Amino acid sequence: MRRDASVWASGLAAVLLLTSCEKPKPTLYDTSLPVLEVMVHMIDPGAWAFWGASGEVTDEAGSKSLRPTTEEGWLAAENGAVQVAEAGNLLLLPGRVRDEEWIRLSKKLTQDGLAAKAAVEAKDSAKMYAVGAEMFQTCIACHTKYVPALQPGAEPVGAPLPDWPADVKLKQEQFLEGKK
Amino acid sequence: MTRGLKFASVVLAFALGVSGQAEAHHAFAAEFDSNSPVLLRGKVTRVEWINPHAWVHLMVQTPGKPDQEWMVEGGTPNTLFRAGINKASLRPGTSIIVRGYQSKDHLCTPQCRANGRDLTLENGQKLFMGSSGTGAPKDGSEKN
Repeated sequence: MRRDASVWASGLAAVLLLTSCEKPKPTLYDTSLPVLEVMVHMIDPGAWAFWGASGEVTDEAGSKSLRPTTEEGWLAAENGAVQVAEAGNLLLLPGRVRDEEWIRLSKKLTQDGLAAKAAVEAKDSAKMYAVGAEMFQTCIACHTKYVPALQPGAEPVGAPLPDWPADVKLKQEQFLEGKK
Repeated sequence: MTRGLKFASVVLAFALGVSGQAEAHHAFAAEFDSNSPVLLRGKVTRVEWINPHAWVHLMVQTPGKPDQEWMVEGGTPNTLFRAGINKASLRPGTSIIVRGYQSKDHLCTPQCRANGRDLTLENGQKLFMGSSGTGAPKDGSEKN
């Protein structure tokens, strides 16, 4: 009798265990927001905050560096860099990963963001500029891979550009002649 | 349109691509009109060497019309450097001729805007100033 009860109890436990296995596992993440939201509210403003903190503007008055001049300016650039770095991780959450290339590019985005943060911390404008260019290449690589309209061959055919004026054409020909 | 908004349009395209919708907007199409080609002749007034796109400002002089400032979007500064466009070649006051596509809104306040395809320097050197991966028209200038 005791043995029977034990068998039944074991059977019941097994059924309960199986039943519990069939239930959806509670997830640690809520990725109900589409990737679009991550782009618009995290990557986009983060990247722009970082990009805007290096480079220069040249005009008749000379050259003006866009390097931050205040601690608030440096902090804004660093905030942007961290946003980009962590956004790369958000793209790797379950439910968002699409394929191996997605993983590679998301990790690259994080690497770029971390390099950006390091450059800001060092207040190294030249490095920030270089990292910013690299970051954009990562963005472009991802867009051309996953945005159908931006994939190679999908570009629109524009209206033909105006022909060069005759005097300009002549100069172009002379330039090319001079190179021969 | 702000640059941020333009970038967001790339994002929109991204989302549309993910959802599989046939129609998608993209960076170039969001801001520029591939059916509005322009040829601008003027002097460089200002250049913004900034990621992700450099901007070349020029004052366009047209006989019989008031001077009009344009700002023309180019590729990344690095892309331009590789193409041969740099601070030395685009000094303020330099005469250039630029071809590209005007902004969709066709607004010229505070200045007209365009996406640059190529430019010719005073010495006749023709240089590509666009960038790839932005959805800019592929072959509008190939024949020229």
